[in-house]
Amino acid sequence: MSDNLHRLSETINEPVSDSRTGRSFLPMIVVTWVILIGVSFTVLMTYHNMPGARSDHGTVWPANQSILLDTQRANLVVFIHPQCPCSVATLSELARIQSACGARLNTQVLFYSPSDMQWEDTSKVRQALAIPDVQIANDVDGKLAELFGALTSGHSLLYSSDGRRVFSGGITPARGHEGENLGRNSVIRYVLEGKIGCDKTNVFGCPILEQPSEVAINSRGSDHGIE
Amino acid sequence: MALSEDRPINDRARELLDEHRDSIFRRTDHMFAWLMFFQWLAGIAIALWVSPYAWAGRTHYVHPHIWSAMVLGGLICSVPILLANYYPGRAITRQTIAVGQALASALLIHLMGGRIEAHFHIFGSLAFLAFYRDWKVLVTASLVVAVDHVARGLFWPESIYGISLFGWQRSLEHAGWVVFEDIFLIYSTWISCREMTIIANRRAEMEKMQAEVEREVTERTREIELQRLVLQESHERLERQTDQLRKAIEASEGANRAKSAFLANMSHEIRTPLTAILGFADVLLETGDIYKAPVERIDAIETIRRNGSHLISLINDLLDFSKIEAGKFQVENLPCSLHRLIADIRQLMQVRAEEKKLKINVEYDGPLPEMILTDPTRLRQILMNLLSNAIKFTHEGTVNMKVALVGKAPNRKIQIDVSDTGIGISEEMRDKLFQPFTQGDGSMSRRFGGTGLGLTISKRFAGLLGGDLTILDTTHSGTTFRLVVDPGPLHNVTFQETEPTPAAPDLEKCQQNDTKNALRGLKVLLVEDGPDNQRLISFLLKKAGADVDMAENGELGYLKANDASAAGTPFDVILMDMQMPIMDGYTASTKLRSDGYNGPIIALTAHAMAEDRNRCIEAGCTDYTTKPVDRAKLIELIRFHAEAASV
Repeated sequence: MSDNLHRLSETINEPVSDSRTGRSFLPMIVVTWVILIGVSFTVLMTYHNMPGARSDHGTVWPANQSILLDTQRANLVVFIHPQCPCSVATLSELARIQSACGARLNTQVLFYSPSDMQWEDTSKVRQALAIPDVQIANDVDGKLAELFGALTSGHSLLYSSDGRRVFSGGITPARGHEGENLGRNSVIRYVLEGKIGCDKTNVFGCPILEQPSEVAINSRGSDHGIE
Repeated sequence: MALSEDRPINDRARELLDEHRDSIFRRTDHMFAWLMFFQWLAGIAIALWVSPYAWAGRTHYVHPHIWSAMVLGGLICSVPILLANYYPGRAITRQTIAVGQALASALLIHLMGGRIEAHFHIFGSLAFLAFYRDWKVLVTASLVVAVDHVARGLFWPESIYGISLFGWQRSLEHAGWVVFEDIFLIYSTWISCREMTIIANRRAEMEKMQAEVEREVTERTREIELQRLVLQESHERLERQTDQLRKAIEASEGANRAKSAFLANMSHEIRTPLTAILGFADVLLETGDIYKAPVERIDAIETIRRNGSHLISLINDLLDFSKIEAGKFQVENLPCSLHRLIADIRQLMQVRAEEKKLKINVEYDGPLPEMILTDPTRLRQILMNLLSNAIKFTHEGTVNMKVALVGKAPNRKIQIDVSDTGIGISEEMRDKLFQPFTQGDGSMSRRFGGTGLGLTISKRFAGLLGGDLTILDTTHSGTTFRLVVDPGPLHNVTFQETEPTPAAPDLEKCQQNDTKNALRGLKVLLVEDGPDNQRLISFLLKKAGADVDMAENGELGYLKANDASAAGTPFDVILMDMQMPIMDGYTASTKLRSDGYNGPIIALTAHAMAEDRNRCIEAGCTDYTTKPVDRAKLIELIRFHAEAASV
């Protein structure tokens, strides 16, 4: 590279006309470069703020044999794709919720578990196991996710002790980003105060199901972004 | 362009500063090119490690973070790297790099979810940008950072602060910390630039001095080169002259050797016949009824004798002068009685003085050392020359000698003033008098005889004896010469007052009487090749009573001496001529000594040089005398050595 640099430096001393032409183009190149970077940043931001698919048909705890509703306290069900890198932020936010709510919340983390894959020991599973008072379960082939309408990794559903759904959405502000967000605050507020601030937020993460039924998807969630 | 003496120093300092800054800009551009390239690679590597894939159920695809790290990261570093390579040192290059580095920080912060630790990249980048020592670069980067914080804080606060809530306060706080760092960085940049300016000024001054020194050195070198050439030329000329001088010296030495050889040969060749001439003149005057001979015949014989003596004197003077001129004359240092010496000289010169009815007075002024250390032969020669001159140029009156010891110890000298009442010396001749072959005027030689070498030789001898010979006074009524000689150390020498010495009796008459039977009973072998000298010397010796045997050359002499020794009647004395045919005297003497002959061998030679004497002694001779023979001296010498041998 050093030789290249020397060669390139020598080109400066090349004929004046070439040098002047190069110089006249420089500001244009730089401006173009800045614009391209701005556009790229915008695209990146857009991607990061693009919520995943969801289904909000079910407003009560769906009947199933796999997980049970705790009738003594609020129930939080979090669906995670064990390979989704963005869900690290969701589990971190879940840890904050658990530290705030403690035993007053029955939290169950359901990891998507295809029947032909061995995904029981991923970094996300180990992260979830480290959170206190959290139950971990496998969602074989995403049956429960489809049942609960959670189509995107990180989708969290809060049910009251009587089975009503009081919150549905993500508990991160953006894709893979931790920090103060409406989802986390809504969950904690309901558990601690019994009040509902916001019942829906956008979910940011990888799709849990490869091809969810068209019926299940009713929203990309963009209309739930505002409290 | 280096500083010349005519160029203002400020211009050169500015130029040096610009060169230095350009060098820094180019170097830092290249460093940032590498940094941004590695940042890009590191971003891709981190994205690959953290989130290589995005998933949809069982299927996966490349995570958008990878693409953003590759595309957006590559975009950010592309233009700065290209500019650093193609246009290093330009303002737009480093400004673009500043923008790119700030954007790299923005991307990193975003990809790390707005973690506060990622913000430290901004501070590191600003510190690195300070390498440019250009405050404008820091301002640009800081502006980009501020705009990024405000814009993203407004629209996507979670991407920069990790939370979705926007607050002006937080953006201002972040910008404030950046400004905080900028203050110190800009200050250090300003200090650094000031130091660079000082360095540039000093370097310009040094260059100016160096230019002056170089000019001085060049001038000096040119001068030295000129001097060297002059010296070389002088050296070559000197070498040529030395060569010429050496050749001249060699030629001179050759000529000198030839002259010495010539003188030696001539001396020998002249002395040999003179020996016969003078000797037989003496014989004629002493034998037979000479008183019956006519006066004219006696005058003729006297004339022969006088002219022969003059010729001998002339040869002696020439030899002495030649040796002095050649620097080969060596004086001896022997103990000698000054009183005795002066008395002898007075006695010798008395005869000539009386012939002109002159009187020689000797006056001793104060006590004199009993013995002095000098060369008595040369001192005698000087005094005899002075007295001889005084008698020669004085028609009537007296010749006075005044002897004194002058000076203070340890530089005491013997001073002898010889005064006469003669014709005196003119003023113009005083200076020339000691020059060789100079007499009062051209007619002097004809009127008074002499070679004109006497005073010259005497003056040189006086110098060799540690003194001088000068003309003390001269008038029309007489001249006084002053001789000063070194008496040698006088520590343990007895001083004595001396009475005026009465006139001595006629030495020659006494000697004549004494020599008659001086050698009676002595057996003498005369080895001599010249028939004239054979006859003369044998006549003299026989007349003195000796029994003389003769041999014609060294070999016969050697045989006769050996035969006599073998017969139990060895010769009492052998008189050996040194230059003979068949076998010379040197060889014969050496052989005799090697055969155990212990008797005296007296060398008899016409060679009168000092080195000849040494050569004779080295060959085994007991003593040495020169031709023409002094009859009395020869007889005395034979008698002395014969008696010494018998004792």
